[in-house]
Amino acid sequence: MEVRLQNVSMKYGHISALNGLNMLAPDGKITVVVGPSGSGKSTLLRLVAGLEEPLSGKVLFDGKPVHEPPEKRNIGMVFQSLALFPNMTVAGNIAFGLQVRKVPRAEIEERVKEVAKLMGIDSRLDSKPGELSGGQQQRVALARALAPNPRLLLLDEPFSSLDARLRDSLRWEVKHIQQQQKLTVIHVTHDHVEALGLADHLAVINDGALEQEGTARGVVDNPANEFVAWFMGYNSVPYNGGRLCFLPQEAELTEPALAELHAEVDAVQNSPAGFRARVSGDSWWADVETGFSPAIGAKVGLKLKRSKFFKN
Amino acid sequence: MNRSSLATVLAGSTPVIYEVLIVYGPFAASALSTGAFRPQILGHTLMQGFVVDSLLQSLLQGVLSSVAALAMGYPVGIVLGLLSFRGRAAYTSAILLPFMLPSVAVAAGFLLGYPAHSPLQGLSHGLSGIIAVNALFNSPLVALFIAAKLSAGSGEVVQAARTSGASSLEVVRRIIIPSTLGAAGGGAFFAFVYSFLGFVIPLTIGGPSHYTSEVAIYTYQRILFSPATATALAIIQILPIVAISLAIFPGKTRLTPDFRAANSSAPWSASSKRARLCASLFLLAYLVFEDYPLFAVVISALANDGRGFALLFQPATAERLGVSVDRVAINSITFAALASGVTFFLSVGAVHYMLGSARQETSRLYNLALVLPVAVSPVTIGLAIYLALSGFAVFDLVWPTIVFAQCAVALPVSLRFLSNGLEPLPRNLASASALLGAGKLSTLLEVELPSARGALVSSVVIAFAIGIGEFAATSVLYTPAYTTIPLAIYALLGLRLFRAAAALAAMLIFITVGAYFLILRFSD
Repeated sequence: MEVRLQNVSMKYGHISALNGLNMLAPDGKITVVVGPSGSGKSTLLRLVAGLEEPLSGKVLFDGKPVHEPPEKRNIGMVFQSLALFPNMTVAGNIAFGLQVRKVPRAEIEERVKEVAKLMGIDSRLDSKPGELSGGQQQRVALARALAPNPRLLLLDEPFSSLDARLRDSLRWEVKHIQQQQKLTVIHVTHDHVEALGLADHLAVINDGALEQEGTARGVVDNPANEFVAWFMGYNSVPYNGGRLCFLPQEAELTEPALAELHAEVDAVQNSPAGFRARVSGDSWWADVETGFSPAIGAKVGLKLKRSKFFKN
Repeated sequence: MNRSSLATVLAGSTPVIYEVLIVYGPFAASALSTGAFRPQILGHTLMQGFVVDSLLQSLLQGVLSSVAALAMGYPVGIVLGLLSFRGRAAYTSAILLPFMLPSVAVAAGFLLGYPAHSPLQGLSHGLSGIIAVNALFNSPLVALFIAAKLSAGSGEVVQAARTSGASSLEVVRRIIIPSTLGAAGGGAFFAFVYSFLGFVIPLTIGGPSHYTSEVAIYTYQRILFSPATATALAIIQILPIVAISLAIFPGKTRLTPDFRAANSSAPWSASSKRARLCASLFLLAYLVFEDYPLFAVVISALANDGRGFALLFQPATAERLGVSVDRVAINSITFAALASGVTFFLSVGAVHYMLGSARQETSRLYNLALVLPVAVSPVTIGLAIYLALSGFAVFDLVWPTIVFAQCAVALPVSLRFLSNGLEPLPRNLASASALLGAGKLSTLLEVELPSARGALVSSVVIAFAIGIGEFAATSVLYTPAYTTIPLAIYALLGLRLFRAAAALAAMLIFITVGAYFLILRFSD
């Protein structure tokens, strides 16, 4: 199912959460909505879910405006807090969406076992949510959302509280299930690395408005403006009355005489590729991936393999 | 245990030691001296018709009042917990107000607001009147238990149920009711205890056929001069309450309203205009029920150019009361101020302990120790202090016993306010301060007390509010020269001087409302 937001605005009291947002989530793809805290990401999901009504504009499912309450939209949603029903077992949580749809009991039992197995929690079906680890709770929340075969899955930063390895493992699982079931997914996150890893389609929002959308690779390779570049991990340095943006791995430390940008090494970290140096110039700083560990305080030049320039 | 830990534990023990010295100790001493523990006396007491009737009345009023409080408070709590609307925090404060008010002032409000021969006179007379007043007091408590439970993280659970396909009815049946049963049980339990131990309401609203065991204890002590029977009845009355408290109250359930939870933003907007309209009308009707008696008091006092106040300050009124109104006001303010001073001293010790204690189990046990005296009725506290301390020369003075009693009555609630106020503070404040090189005293004065300022103010102000409205324990201990405002209101109602009673009740309401706003201000 394709989801489209058309000129959607939303306010909480006097605070504007979305300002005429236009966005597309293509059918059968993972759309990742990325943006800083307070940019309107969660509001966007709540509007799609029907938990809020937009002040103006439309939410369209397959081209048709939707006004049904959340329970009629056939969607699955995983909340940031997970919101597992504490009074029910794991099986009860997973079965809930099927029970309220009056699915026959035998079918529910079969589906619960199937989804629990898919998520690797079939041995914990009789446990209460409070007895599970964080990762297991996450799987239960995902299983609960998937059990009724929703036509749309909404994920509201569900991995933000997990450790890095678990987060990575769950990302793979989501990707696997989505690709297997050709499910439309809208995933909200503030983590651009997670966004890049998961997204078929990427939307960057800021201050309640869309900055750019497109394929993940397209957005990263061709950011539309300085904000998108900065948010996707580009360095941004003042240059010739504008901003010169470049990725840390697309710059090289050289002798100062060989480069236009001159800087001094402030600090050095280890990185998977070798080292990452923080260098600073006149009122700017940038991170650069290097194969060697430069000396702190060394004067260096920055040679850029690829960059984007945005006029002020 | 090292010296530093010992000092922390000792500081934390001061409220418990106070309770032992002022409540449990005197009660045990008076029971021993009167022989009330002896099976013959307990048996003899239980054989008396007045005792049996009063215990049955207590039970009946407790059960019916908690059912009424639940019936009214539960839906209000659900609406408050799930709906967000403009002025929600102000509404919550307004419906909670009667919970803070002295019972005698509210009873006066019912008598004045629903007078005899009016269509709603059943609300101010007999068993129905008692149930109505008890419901007014306790239903906001139930509502707050429920609202706090729903506000504390249930919003997304409800949304999760809705996005899973559940209708509103299914959400209520399968999510809201199961998740709020514990809170409803807690609220109903406290409604039962407060109603079971009713004293001034059965006296003013019910009449002799509805006297509770509290009234019976008072009668045996002050009118029939039978301390052994009074003490035996106090023991009989206290045992089931303590047993139920220990079984039901694990130290987690809140005794006091959680203003923060109640005022936090509601998680779920109403889905339709019709639902909003129904909820608004329902909330409005409830607000009228809760606050109308207070307005009745104020209007009655101010009507006809303040005739109530004029009557109150007439020499004839003082003559009939046996004490001047000025004296009554000074007594009340002095006793309540001294009681809150003692509470402050005890709260400082509790702050030091609560912020320094890292072990959760210890804190739970500590909370239980602090809250247990709520099961000891104010009349029992007054009786115990009267019997145990009146022989000592220093306590022949009446006023210190009244101050101690008022403090003992207020302490469990004050310390719950304190503990609720301290909850958001990090538990390792004292360790952080010590690691930075601060000594115990510097940590207390420069870190703990300033951090706990809001909680301390709430604790002391609630002690003042309870002290100034305290009726039951004071009525056991006072002599005419030490009459307080609540006792004078009761006397004026007995003398059928309703306007003067309204004026005095209005003064009490204004003082308590001021205290309430201070608490709200410092609960943020």
